[in-house]
Amino acid sequence: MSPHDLDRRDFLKASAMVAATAVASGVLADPHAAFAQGGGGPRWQKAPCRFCGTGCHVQVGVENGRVVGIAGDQEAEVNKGLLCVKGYHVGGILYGEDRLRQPLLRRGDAMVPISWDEAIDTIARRVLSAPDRFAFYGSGQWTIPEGYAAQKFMKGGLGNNNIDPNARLCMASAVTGFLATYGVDEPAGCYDDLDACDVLITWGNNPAEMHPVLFSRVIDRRSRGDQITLIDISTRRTRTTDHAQDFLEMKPHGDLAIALGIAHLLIENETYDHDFVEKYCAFRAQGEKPDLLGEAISFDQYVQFLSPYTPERVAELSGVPAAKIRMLADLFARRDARITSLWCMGMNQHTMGTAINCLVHGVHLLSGHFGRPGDAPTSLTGQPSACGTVREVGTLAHALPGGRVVANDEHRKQAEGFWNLPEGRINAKPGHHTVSMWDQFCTEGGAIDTIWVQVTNPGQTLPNLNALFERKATLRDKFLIVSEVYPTATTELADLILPAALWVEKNGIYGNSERRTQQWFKMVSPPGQARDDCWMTIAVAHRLMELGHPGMKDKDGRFLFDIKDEQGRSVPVWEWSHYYDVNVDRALFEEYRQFTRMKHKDLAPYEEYVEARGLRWPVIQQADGSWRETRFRFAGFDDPYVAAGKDIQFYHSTSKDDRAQIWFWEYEPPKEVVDGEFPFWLSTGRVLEHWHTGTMTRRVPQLARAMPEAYVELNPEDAKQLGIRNGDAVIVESRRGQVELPAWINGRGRPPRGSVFVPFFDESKLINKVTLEAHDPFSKQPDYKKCAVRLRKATGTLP
Amino acid sequence: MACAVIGFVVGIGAGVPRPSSEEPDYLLQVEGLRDVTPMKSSRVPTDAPPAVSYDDLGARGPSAYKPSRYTVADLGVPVVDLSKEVVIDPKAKPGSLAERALRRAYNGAPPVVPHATEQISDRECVACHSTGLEIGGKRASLIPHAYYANCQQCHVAASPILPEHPLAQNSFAGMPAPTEGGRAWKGAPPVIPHSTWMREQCLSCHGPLGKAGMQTPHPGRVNCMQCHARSSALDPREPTVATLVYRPPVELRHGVNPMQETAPEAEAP
Repeated sequence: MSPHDLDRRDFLKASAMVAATAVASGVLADPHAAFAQGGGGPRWQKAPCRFCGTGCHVQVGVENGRVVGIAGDQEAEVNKGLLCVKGYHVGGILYGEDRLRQPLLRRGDAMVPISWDEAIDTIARRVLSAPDRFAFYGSGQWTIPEGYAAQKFMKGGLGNNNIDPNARLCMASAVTGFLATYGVDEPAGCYDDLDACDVLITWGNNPAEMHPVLFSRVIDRRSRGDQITLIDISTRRTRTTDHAQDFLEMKPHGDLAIALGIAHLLIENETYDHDFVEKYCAFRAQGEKPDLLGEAISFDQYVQFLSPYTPERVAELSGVPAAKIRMLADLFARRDARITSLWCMGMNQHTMGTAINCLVHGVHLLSGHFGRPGDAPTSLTGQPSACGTVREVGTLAHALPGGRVVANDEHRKQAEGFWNLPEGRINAKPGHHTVSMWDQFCTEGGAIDTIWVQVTNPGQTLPNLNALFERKATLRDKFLIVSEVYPTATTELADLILPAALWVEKNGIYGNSERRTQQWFKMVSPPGQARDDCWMTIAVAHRLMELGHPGMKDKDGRFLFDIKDEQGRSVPVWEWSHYYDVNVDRALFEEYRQFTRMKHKDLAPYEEYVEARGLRWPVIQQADGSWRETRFRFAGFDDPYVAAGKDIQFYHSTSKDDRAQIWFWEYEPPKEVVDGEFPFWLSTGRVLEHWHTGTMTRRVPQLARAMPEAYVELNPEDAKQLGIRNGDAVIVESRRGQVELPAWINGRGRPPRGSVFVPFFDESKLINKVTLEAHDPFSKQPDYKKCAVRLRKATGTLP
Repeated sequence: MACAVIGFVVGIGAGVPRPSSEEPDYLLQVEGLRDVTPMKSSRVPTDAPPAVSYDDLGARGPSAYKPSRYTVADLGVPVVDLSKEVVIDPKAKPGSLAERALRRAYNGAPPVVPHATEQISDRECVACHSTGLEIGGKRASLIPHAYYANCQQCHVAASPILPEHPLAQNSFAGMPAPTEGGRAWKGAPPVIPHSTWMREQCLSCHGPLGKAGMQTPHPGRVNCMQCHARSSALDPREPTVATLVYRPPVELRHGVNPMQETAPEAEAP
């Protein structure tokens, strides 16, 4: 146990006693007395916010064992004391009346309460009966230790690679874009770019609602006198557009054409950065057999491939006038301007997600807008630890921790070494990715018959829900295990429900969008019998060992999760009563840390994160023993892994010559396009007040009041033509399914004619029954941003 | 300016635009979210411009309202004489604090917006709240913190297209606002009993537009913290030092309690 644990636990005990005494004597009611005692009121402690990938730090006020207040953390570099409305109300997510409080097992049509012992035993026996037909489905909300434990349990214990996260639906194309371009994942820049840029380009991105704190970080500079040019490229006007100088309304897939058009003009006008390209870049395109390496092409070939993408042709493909394409190219041609590009789901939930990610990186590289503060292609994430847990721990069907992949012999050997496993334990064949996993689960005789879901809600977020989720209800011998905090669309079909601890009810570590690793301590107790997800995984692993599964031991016969206290004695952490005898997070994190050096994503010891408001990797120990974070990767002035004397070095280059790849990809139309039968484009997404499926935010009255239910956002002209008025019930229907929604003419955004927008947070109106499961061939990420639908007014009004 | 006046007129007059004039029941589910300051329409001048909903505004365009005809003065905004002493009614304070608490999840939470807002823009917020004003019994408070451009990032209004849903039951109990600051002696300036983070503009709540019982009796004095001390213990952040560190007590002869006064030793003869 660290001194911090002692301090904290003692403090909790002490403060509980003080509080109890105070209440008994009525002291707290008197503010004078509180002053006389030098304070009183809640005890404040840091934690990263539970919601998006921005990674704001909050101060959590705890009194009498309950969270009573939240404040922006003034010491946090990310948010500098500011939050968004979700963050300010994050404390409320713990206290919804319908929190799950005990394990529940399906018996016939009913769910019946069972003990934790029975629940853990049930899972272990189910896994043991067919270890290869078991899959683990997690998310970017797993803490790093939770994801690491699940990863080790599956790949190191069961030799089973069927582990994938919902992040597959969220940022997989950003990963493939980074890998194809730089040979290593995650942004080179960071949020400091937002303080330095002169131009911000949002590519199908609405940060004013989805990453409000980052948006404010840029836009609020205007009130301090800075000139910021904001250019919004999107299929619909949003709150972000309201702050933009230029709005470029594009057709779906127009982003591909726009990026190609900029590259074409940079070359035609000879305004690309000759020096940067010559020193640091190479050119790529797809060869016969498409993969992320592609084939090297010459500069001349690149120019030739680009030649058809004249501003006029791009205007035709994208709907953005040729003059605006020239404006963008002229902007990128300017060496004096610092340009940051931001994107999130618009470019990632895209059947050509890898391509558009590569193309936007390519525009920045070609124009030399890279590597100086403010010059950055920056991909944002939607989940608090999509980077930390999914991308870095590698909780994906093909990956191992630290940027390793199962298909690589050397990588498997290294992982087996760190885990002290017999050689050959880890399976070389990638497992089922998300869409494939659920497809197999929802197919009679499919390859998967048991899925354990932790910290996510696939019953609402998978595309084409009728095919990939709802069908489970009709199949026999499929078993769905769900760890959750509230009843959801997923628990509805669950056979076993496990009540989970949430956010500051447990220890945790997250990794945000700018490579920042953030730690927090447990502050309050979970309700009822709710327990930590990480404990559940370890308990099942231990039960499997007891039942004789050989994989749950390392090559010396020790349990996979043999966690020791300071005196070196093994602690039985699989027993809940002992789980907090030792800091399991710290033990797992220290083990995981060994994996992070290969790809130069070095993490500091756990204790450093206890002190800091997060640190951005690589974190390198200095001569004086202190630990230094890195803000700008590959840049000689900041990144310690760049060789001395070099300005830029892409030291994980796929061409092994320290060069980044500028890719050419041919424009392709979307997989499904509008036609006479289904004449409207449908895009889905989030709204400011709700986070993802609303499981947490819909329980907070202040947020639910602002946005109580989903709606279909309509253009006024389309509404007029269809005879639809505000609030009318409208059926939105695709080839796959339909959903009834109230109409909101214009609404939160302004969709152009022929297009509609529906948010996906509402479990009572599942728009993902309508969406398309077509996905990017490399990232396997589906496209939730475009499919063809038709609308009709429902008879009568909504109930 | 035209835009500002439209925003002003619409924001005040329209209330929450809904198909029906009845307030939906769902708001009753969570008492704190009810609009607790109903407009006293009798105080609105009869020649004030007609209120419109944002939907109407979108359809008919701003020119329909000829905003240039009206100035803020036409709307009957009371003129405040800052030099005049304000008489405070201490009995009104508990009611005012309770009213204030209804719009906040906890003391320090950004208040929810009790009226309709423009969905896609924040310009209208600033029209009234950048200076603060009162009209027709409706008070638009001065923004108490530094200007942030994306107002609705933190302050959210009820959805204008709400069907009537009960809100989720939630047992979160936020920390309450303090009732008053302590004084060192009768007549001393009270210390500030709450955090001052995001509340740099004291007059937002304690100025002439403040709720009854909460105002300062001397609004003309603008340098509030000259006399009223804040407390670092109330900052919503981890304390940097657990206890204040003082020099050790002066060392007295072994065995003597330094906190206890003792008679000076008799000098040697």
